[in-house]
Amino acid sequence: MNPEELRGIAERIREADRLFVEDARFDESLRAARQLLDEIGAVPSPPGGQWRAELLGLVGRSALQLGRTVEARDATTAALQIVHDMRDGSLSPLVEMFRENLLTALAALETPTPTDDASTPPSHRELRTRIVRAQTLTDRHRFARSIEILEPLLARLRPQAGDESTRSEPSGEPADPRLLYLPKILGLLGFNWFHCGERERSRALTEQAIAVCRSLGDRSGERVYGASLAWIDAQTARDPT
Amino acid sequence: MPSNTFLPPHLAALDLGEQLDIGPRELRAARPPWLNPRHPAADRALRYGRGRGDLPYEEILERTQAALPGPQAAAVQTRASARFQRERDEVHRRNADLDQLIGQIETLRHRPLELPLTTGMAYRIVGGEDQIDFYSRRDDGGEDAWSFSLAHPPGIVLRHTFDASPALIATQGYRIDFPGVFWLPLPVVIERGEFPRFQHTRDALVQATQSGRFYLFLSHRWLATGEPDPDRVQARFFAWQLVAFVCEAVEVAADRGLYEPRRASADLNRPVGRFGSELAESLVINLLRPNLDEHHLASAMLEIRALGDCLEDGGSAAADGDTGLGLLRARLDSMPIVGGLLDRTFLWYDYSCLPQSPRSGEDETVFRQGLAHLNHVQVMGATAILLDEVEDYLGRAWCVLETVTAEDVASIGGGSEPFLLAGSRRSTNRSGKAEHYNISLLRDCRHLVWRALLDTELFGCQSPERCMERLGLSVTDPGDLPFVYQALSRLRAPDAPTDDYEVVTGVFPLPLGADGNSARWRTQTMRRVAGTPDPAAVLTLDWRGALHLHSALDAGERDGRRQMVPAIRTLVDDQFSAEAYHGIHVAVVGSCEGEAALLASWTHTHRAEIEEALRLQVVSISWLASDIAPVGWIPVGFLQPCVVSTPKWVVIAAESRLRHCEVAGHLIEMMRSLGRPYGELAIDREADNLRWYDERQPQEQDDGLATYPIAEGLFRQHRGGLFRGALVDYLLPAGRRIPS
Repeated sequence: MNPEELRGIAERIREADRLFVEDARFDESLRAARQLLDEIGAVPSPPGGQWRAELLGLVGRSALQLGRTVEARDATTAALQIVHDMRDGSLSPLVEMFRENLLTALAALETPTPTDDASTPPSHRELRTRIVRAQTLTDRHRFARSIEILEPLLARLRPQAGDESTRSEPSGEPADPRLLYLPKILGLLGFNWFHCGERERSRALTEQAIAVCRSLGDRSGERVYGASLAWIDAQTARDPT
Repeated sequence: MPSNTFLPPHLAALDLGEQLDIGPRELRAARPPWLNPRHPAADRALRYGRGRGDLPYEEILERTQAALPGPQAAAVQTRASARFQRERDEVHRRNADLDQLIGQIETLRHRPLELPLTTGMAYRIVGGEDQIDFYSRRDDGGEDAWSFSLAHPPGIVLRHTFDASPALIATQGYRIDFPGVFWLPLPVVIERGEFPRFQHTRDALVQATQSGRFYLFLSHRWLATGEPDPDRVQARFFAWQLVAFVCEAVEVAADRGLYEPRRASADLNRPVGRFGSELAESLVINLLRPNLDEHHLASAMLEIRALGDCLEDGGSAAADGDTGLGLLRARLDSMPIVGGLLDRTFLWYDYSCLPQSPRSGEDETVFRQGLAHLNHVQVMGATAILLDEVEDYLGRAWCVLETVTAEDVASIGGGSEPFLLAGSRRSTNRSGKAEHYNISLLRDCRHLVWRALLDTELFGCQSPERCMERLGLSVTDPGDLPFVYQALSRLRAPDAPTDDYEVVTGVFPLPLGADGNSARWRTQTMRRVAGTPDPAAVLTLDWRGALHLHSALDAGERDGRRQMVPAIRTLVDDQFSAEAYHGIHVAVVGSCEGEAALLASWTHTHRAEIEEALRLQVVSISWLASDIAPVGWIPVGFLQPCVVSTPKWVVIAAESRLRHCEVAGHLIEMMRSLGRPYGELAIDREADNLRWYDERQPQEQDDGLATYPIAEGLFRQHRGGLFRGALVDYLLPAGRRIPS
């Protein structure tokens, strides 16, 4: 393809994305993305790799909105694989967007009846529902009740992480995608304990959140909880009691 | 007879050819050459907006917005634009289960305790419904997002907060007993599972109000001709939601402290920390504080905890299936404290509180008395709107009157904005909250009503009947129309949002340079928030009457109606005389040409009062309109820069404009930069609203004030006015500026 044709493709990818974001015409954005994927088969990387990832991601997002959850899961998984293979840190925002979509698709594929069996690992749906509930309680300044929800959830999820790295090669994704919820649980627990005045406990949990983020390649989590940790330390330095 | 475009001849004659007939949705796709984003003049947008003439106000607005060079950030909502957004919203929500899962994504994102401690970092800030996002620039050109709940915002947002408690309703301070005005106790609705007909419940109604009770005016559509709520849908949605709001109020009071006020950030003008919905906050101060102590509050919390999560969506899912409200009654049986609060809640619902047809002679008298006090009922209590089909609601004259009245009461500090309740369960309101586009649609309808009333009452360019027709308002009984129109015309000018695509017309005053041969104008739009001077004097000048059509016109203006109010009026023979030099120039800024002309006219008539307050003579008056919804009659339709030799100015506008509007800001900042004495009159405030600033050290260089030698062609007239965002670059020709 000559530069003119490449520019044309880039413009059509933006247009397909606009169909999704601005017009909510998901049928059309999915169709446009699929067609573009066929057309760019021969485009070398760069920019072909990133385009393929973006288009597969768009297929995944559109399919999810249309309720085609298997297609959403498969396209998003493929998109994630491409991005991981590219080993380009600047693409981390794409990883985060694709992971959000993948986790939502996986939750949608589960039966919508949560189990309350504390001996089993929590389902995607249960994880999401409880974390959202805990965040809502935190936003209402009910830190203790939020902790009451998060601590058992952490206890049930932690065995899945094992002692080893949560990151699984070569896919770049953890063997169990539910582990992607771990940083949020740890970070929110740290947030709650900080507001309960337990800085040491807050610090330890926030450090764990950062470590798990690093292991999972969750750069935004690493950055966000890094800022929290700096704040906890600054407050402790100002008022050691 | 040619159709009326309500434009001055120079704009009406503008020829857009066949493109005038392209629909607003198709206009952008058609991309006519005149729709050029680099064109700063508003003439073509105004001309396209009027089409072939005689269009309804909403259609003019929809067309004008489509012909703007770019989208407005604070666009006034129309029924068409709300419909478009709703259709888009519904596409996202076809599957309730999936909708819920997708809706969780935002909450599942990481949230920090605080922004990074790095010094000197700049942020772009985006406010959401419940959260605020800060974006910092990365080295690679991208942005990092930092999301905070408004419950836990970063420290910079919490530096300046204020007590943002909602207003007490009037009945807390006064015992009010109007003839024909009755209130329905909420328990009657819960017990019967319906809003009973007046004639079937008159024994249960109460007339005199008591402090410590909560009174709520309920605005709603009639869903059938003979009765408003034939399937009892409104009754069950209202009852469940009110219970949910009372429970929310209990939780907020328990978490924050019963007497701890809600706080708001001065920078964001949004509540921060632990806060509830507007209705819950109003219930805290009007119902909980007078009736509960800490012990009972704790007991009420235990009652609520037993309910579980069934009120998380405002009770709308429960309401959907609770025909007859049996389930709600069963739940309330074990909630004596919450039940006690509901016993102290009273409603005004027309079908239950006014005698219904056919009426006896005695009831007819009661009906007429009640109708006469309709406005007072809204002033006495809070107003809630039961929302289902908003577009239809806004086509009903009575409903619009009730909405606009509630907004009016709130804006004069007498109460809260109307509370929005779900009148039915829809895919787009599963969370229990009203859709944002419906909220803005309700809030914005008053801007069109105000412009339509100015056209009718000030300019006299149409009859009241035609006014209502062009607003798209109808009534079941045509005999009601004059009453509704009269009630609407008593309302006050609303506060308008501001945006870069407001159309600025009128006369733009510019300070005369100290050399006497140059004009001064700005090179930047910045408004100073730090280091603002303290006023040398704060005086009172109650000119709120200028914002009411009836008082403004009664005050000598009726004779002058249908006549042009000039955009600048000189009151001395020689504006370069010593007399003029020692006087003041008054610069008025309004939300549309009609409003600006009305305020300027009032200023002219009442100028002796400002002269007495400041001991300075008014030597000239100019007006500017900065219109975000240019749908009314535009008698001037141009922007004329004009040098003013008088060094002392007074800028007159609504308080929100003085604080936030860029046009009023240009006038104020020029005076500040030059260090000249000036005043600000917040015309919508009752007292302490005339602030006078003494002469001080100029800061011209820091504030980017440029010098333009006066020569032919400098003060070019801009046909159709300029978009606000283009003022700095285009008001005066940049090539005439003396390089600094």
